[in-house]
Amino acid sequence: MNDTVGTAEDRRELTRLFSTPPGLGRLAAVNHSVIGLRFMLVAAMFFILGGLLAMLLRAQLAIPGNEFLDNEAYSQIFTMHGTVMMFLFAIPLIEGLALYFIPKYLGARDLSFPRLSAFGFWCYLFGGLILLGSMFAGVAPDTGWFMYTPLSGREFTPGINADVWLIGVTFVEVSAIAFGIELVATVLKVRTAGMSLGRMPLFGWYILITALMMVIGFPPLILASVLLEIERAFGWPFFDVALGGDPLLWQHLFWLFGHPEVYIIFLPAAATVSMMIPTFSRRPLAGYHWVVGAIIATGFISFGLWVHHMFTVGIPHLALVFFSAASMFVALPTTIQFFAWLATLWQGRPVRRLPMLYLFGFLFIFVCGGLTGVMLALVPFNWQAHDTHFVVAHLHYVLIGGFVFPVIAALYYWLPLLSGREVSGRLGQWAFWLLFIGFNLTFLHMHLTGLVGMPRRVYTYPEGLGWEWLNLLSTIGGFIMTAGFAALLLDVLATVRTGARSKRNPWQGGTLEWSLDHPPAVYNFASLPEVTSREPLWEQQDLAIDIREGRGYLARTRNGWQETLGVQAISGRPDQIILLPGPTYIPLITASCLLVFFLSFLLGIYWLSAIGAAASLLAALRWAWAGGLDRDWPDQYAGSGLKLPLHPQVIEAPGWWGMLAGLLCNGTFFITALFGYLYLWAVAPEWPPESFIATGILLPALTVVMALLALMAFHQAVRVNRLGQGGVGTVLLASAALSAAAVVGCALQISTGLPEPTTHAYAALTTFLLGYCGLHALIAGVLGVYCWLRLRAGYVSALRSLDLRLSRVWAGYTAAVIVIAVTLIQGLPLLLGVGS
Amino acid sequence: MTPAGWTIRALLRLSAGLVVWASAFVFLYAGFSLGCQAWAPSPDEGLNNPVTFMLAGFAVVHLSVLALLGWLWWRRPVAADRGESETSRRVRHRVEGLVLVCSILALVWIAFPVFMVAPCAG
Repeated sequence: MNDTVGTAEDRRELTRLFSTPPGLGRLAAVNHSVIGLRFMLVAAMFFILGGLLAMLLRAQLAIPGNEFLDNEAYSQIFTMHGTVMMFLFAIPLIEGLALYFIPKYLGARDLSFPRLSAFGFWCYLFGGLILLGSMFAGVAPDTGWFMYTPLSGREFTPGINADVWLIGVTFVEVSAIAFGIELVATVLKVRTAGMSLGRMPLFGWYILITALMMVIGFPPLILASVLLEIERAFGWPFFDVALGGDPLLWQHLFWLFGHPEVYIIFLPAAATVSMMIPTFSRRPLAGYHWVVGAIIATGFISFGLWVHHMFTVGIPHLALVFFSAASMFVALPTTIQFFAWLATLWQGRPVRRLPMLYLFGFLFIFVCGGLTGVMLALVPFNWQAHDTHFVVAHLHYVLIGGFVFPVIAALYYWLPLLSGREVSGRLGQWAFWLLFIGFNLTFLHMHLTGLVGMPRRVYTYPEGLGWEWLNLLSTIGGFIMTAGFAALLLDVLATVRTGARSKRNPWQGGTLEWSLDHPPAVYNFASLPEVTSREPLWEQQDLAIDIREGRGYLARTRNGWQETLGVQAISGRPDQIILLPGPTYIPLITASCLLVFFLSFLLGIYWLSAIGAAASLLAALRWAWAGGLDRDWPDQYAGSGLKLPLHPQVIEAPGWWGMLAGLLCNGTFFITALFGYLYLWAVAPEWPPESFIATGILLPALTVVMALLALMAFHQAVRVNRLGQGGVGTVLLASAALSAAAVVGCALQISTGLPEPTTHAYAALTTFLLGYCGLHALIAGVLGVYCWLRLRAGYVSALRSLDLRLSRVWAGYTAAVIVIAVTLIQGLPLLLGVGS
Repeated sequence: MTPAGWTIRALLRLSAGLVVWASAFVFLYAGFSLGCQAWAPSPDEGLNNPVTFMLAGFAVVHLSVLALLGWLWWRRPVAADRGESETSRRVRHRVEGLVLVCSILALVWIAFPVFMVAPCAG
């Protein structure tokens, strides 16, 4: 149909619609390419900082008895090195990478929630600046990047060093959660036509599983950070043994996050490998479904290994064996991926290009890191090597081999696409050999340094222990590696500024991102293609030309809308047109309100912190208000004779999936809190407490009933609205009132039935759980009023019911957590015969 | 079934084996911790104690569920459906099968120590 073919005028209009305003307007950017690049650039800055810190550490350890740094400075530097590299470099870099490339791989114009990724960027930047600022103020965290209690408790760290870590990292984690939700919804819903799950590029699978792992993996650390910060600020003794807490609870919560994080970092790097090797082997990846299965298996099994970081804390043998076995088993899915890559190279016609050199470095180094990982999974060996430099060497082999080398390969691979410039290669090869030699010179014999007994985190050591030459070699290697990174930086800058213009698709890749302009237009695709294979550019001749010349879906512009296709998640059949938001300051404003909350909490100005929290909630509601449609629209032409509804008018809108992903995250937080509650009950030495909750049965029963009635009211509102009947507003107000009653019920249980939370971990955790329930009921009440206002303003109709349905899901979750928490809190003491 | 319901069912099928494995892991670890608190059998009793029996029961039940899922997977027809091509459906089916095999191996691997180590020693 000629009327659906895009014109040059359409492409100009697309450019105008998707562009970021100049000047201060850049602060309003939401476009995924802009946000992705910002993430990657800021992460690179933090990488340089983390590298400089590492050089200081190596300089200090070069010779015995060195007085270059004192104990305090060394502690701050190694803590910040780990923190910066893990939280401010590795995770944000993969976020940037995924945000930038996922729409380009999936054939979309942007992400499902562009404002959410912009919000995530500001949270990352602000959290990073809090941590960075603490270094210049001399109050940087100094108790290791894992903040073990009781060292990080108020007694042993009285300054704000630990608070900086807890608050800064939590702020950054808000960004990670936003990323997880964004990417789950995007990969499932925002793809081009024909891209079923079975045809999705492996990059999509890797990012989907990584995003789900982040959604589930980060809440334990957020919970741990919140609990420790509350303990430090208000004296609630979650980790204080004398008052019923347990420092090992911190270790469990931290490593519940910490070990999956290794795979959260590795999987996106493996994603880039799985995209590069087929391109340079000139054939599709061998064993696609084997790799998909391996990715899913890694996602699950990596959550069953955390205790191998705690083998020396005194755990019964059988538990050690469970975790030892799981730690070894996770090598299986990783091995499957390796064999798939090797089989692809074997069956293909590999060509030697610069990214392949770095992939060789990755294959060699990561295999070594994997093997020492299997060694550390063996309990007797672990007991010997624990907290020695062997572990330092192992983790660097895994993280630099498994993340940094493939990411550099990916940088060179995508540089022509990102910059429009050709990669020259000479300096890049020099950089590789400096990095490869420097890395192994730093870390290979560091295994031996550990095996001969040098512990981690000591700022100096005496002569005569046989560690001198090993450390000196490591320091020399570290500086060679630094020279390699400097050469790499120089090469990339030279390429971007003075490199020759790259031709299109210089590596002859088969996936959709190579059909784009180099660098890509702000809207990515002038028209969205119908794909029929996983490597459409190899299988569908002239596809790239058709895309550019507007012979595809949504080639025409209308109504000033930014549009992209939404598909049925499994089949890839188009089922909606997603309307994307334009530039807005609201993500920055919301993140700034959160900054007020976090910063004032850090400084102990709690009244200001409360204002920051309230302002954040208001900003979030204002944000939500800006979405949706104020009238019903008929289905719109999408091209190729297809008519589709707009996304606010369909059941399975991206927002629905975003809510599910958000509640998955929230639910993990809640379940982890329940784990903490039961863990302390079963294991902590100073239990049982002197008294348990004493509210009688009426108050908790009423709280549960109010929450269930509120859910029923929301359900009724959705039903009445769908049938087009009157009275929706009244039902919504009733749901708000019932939610408010549930809030009061939770508050009364805390105030009348519990001892002071500072007296025992039982009272502290019970107060925390009831507070969590009350907060959720409060938000449900606010949503009731919000929906009522939306209804009055004309944003809700029988066709446009997303607001109501999302609020109902929230109310359902709230009712579920209230039922579970109240039953557990009231029932467990009775069940064990200790309650009144 | 709604499109969303179909999607959730398909995603659950892809990971069903590992969900069962995760459940087994939680039951074994929590059961062992709480069992040792409740019964506290002496290591001298070896494997003849209620904790080992309970853990073995958990392992067998979960293995049975995995076997059932495997049987259902074997019988499930693979055909084009709701706009998804047969090729794409076949890819999902293979992944489901691989994940099930991986889950069975993983469960056997982590559960066999139950039959070899006295539960509350150490």
